[in-house]
Amino acid sequence: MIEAPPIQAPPPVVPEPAVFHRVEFTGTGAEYFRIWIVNFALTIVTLGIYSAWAKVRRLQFFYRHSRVAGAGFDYHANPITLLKGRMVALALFGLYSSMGYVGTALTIVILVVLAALLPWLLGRSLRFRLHNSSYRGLRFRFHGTTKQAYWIFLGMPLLALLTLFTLAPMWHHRLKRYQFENSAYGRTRFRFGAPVGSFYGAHLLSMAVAGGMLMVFFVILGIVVALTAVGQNQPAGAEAEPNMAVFLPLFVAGYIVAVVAGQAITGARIQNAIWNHATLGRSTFLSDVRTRRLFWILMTNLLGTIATLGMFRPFAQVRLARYYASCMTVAQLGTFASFSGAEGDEVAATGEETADIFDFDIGF
Amino acid sequence: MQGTYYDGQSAEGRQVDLSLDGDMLVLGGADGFERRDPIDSVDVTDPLGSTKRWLRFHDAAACEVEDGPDLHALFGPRVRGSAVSRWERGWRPAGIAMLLVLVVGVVTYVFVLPVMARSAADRLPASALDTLSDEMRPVLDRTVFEPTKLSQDRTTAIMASVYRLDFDMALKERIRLEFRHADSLGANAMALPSGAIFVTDQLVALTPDDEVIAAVIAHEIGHVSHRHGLRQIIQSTAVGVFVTWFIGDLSALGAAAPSALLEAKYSRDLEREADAYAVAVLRASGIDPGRLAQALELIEKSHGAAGDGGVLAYMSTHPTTEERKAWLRAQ
Repeated sequence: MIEAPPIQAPPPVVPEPAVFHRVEFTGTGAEYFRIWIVNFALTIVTLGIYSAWAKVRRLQFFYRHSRVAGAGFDYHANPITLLKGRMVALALFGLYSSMGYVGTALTIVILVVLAALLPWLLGRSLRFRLHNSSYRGLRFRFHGTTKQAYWIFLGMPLLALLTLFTLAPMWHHRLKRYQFENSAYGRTRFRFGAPVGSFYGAHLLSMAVAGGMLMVFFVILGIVVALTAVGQNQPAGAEAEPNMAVFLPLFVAGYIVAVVAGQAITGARIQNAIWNHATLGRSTFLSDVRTRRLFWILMTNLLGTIATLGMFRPFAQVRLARYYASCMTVAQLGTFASFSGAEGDEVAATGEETADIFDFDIGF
Repeated sequence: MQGTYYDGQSAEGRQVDLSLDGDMLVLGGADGFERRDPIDSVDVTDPLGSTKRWLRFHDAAACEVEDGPDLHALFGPRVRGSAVSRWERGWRPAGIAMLLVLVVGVVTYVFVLPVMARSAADRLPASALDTLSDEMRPVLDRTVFEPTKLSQDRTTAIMASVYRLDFDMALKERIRLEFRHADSLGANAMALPSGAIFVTDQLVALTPDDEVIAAVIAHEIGHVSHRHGLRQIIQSTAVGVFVTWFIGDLSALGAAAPSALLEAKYSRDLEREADAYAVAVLRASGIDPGRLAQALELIEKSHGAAGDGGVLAYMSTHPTTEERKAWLRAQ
């Protein structure tokens, strides 16, 4: 019960000192590799049924090793619920894959069905993920409405499409705002303050750098091709036939470097913009992801994964998680006792699994 | 042993000592905090790598503790954990799992997926093939093809020589030859699943010998007969989905290169199958299968042979012409 506050002198204006907590990731690649490969093998042996259990264990590994202020996160989803979600996701994916092979009329019907279902499912997916996440024994919550989900996952993308993607960074901004403003830790809501300009800045710079790199790269490639043609002693005046054995791998390599550079720029800038302007109650966050370091990690992760036929992937994921964690600090104002929980309810898993298979980046 | 206790109502944690009093688990902390539960009513999460473990109480309360001998002493054998959790922590099970993944992966890629794609493709009704082709034809005509510049006499002669080929009558009714001019493709022929076979003017211009052209078309009929178009779609969809999922958080482009490599092998297998079909048809029709080898040589020359083989052989959608010629001549 709230008691009537006693009349008292205004409190002295002494700034309350913030307590800074570095976010840590305590897992190692070698540890995760064994978890990943064992669960992967079990998924294969059970013809995919076990994948729901595998997913819970994988997420629990990442949640429990993510630690702030001496405490870890935890993930609570029931694998059976996830499995039901996977069935629905698989059916939807079947519909999605059949588009284009079933005639124009049916393709349009499928498109409409997916457009009608997906926003709702994606909203549910965010809800499911957060309601099944906890920190210090307290669950997260998601309060996004169905109406918001349709606007964010259907209305805005269509608008971005109609404006030839000039609104795409704004859509990205609204998507993140929708996620953050609707998220809560117990009863305490997250607040999102990143300006839309930071999203435009990140995307434009990323496009400029990736485009510039591609251009420089094509010039260099042109020279290389010309030189190899000369090396082949072609008659003067003959049109230089590009030597495909040299050209193709170089082309792919250059393209990948440019795309990953673009990714690193948007990844680092947007992560920083979001967290440096986010609040949770009176606590704030400090994020310092460096573009170059992120580029290096993404690039070596990609090469390692391809070179080892995927066996490096668990190490890559742990490396990335470690780096992202090491870049984040929480500035806490007030005590942990000021965060309190709300009564819980169960959320269907369908949304999360669908989002998983369609590979939407909606985690945070 | 020590743990951090959370009551589930607020985020405040408190350091507690865990001990056993008969069959009651006792959590005791500073300023006289005490909580007692029957030890069997407390859930303990499965071990997972080196992560800490959670005791979960019947209300929303929970306690984070270190995994180890102290915990085992308190709770007994029931917290030893699942078999999976033990496998996850050893290198030997990880090695076995890796071997299994690799073997299943290779077997699926080499045998299972092609067989499944073939049986799926064979089951689809012919109408599906037509639908598919109806979608592709206008795209091709818009992007690469121009109307043919060949004389009516020449096209009729080629049609006649194809008609004389000895192959399945039902299939013969579905095959339609269409001649097109295509600068970007050069000497080439391609088949749509419905049975439409496009032959470029550039191919016809290579030789006055209609039997050589017919040999190439027999190869294309092989693609139609074995429903290669559909099989390719099914196989590349499966490969694409798998690689994208497997590479996961990396870019879609990172997935495109390995997918292309994996699909290229399938494509080469289909080409070999079409070659084998052509050989059978040509032989049944009393034509020397060497005609196809001859055609391949002419086609390769016309494209200005950019040196097949080497690394590129693994990226190519067709076996090298050398390999195909050698095989055809051996027939």
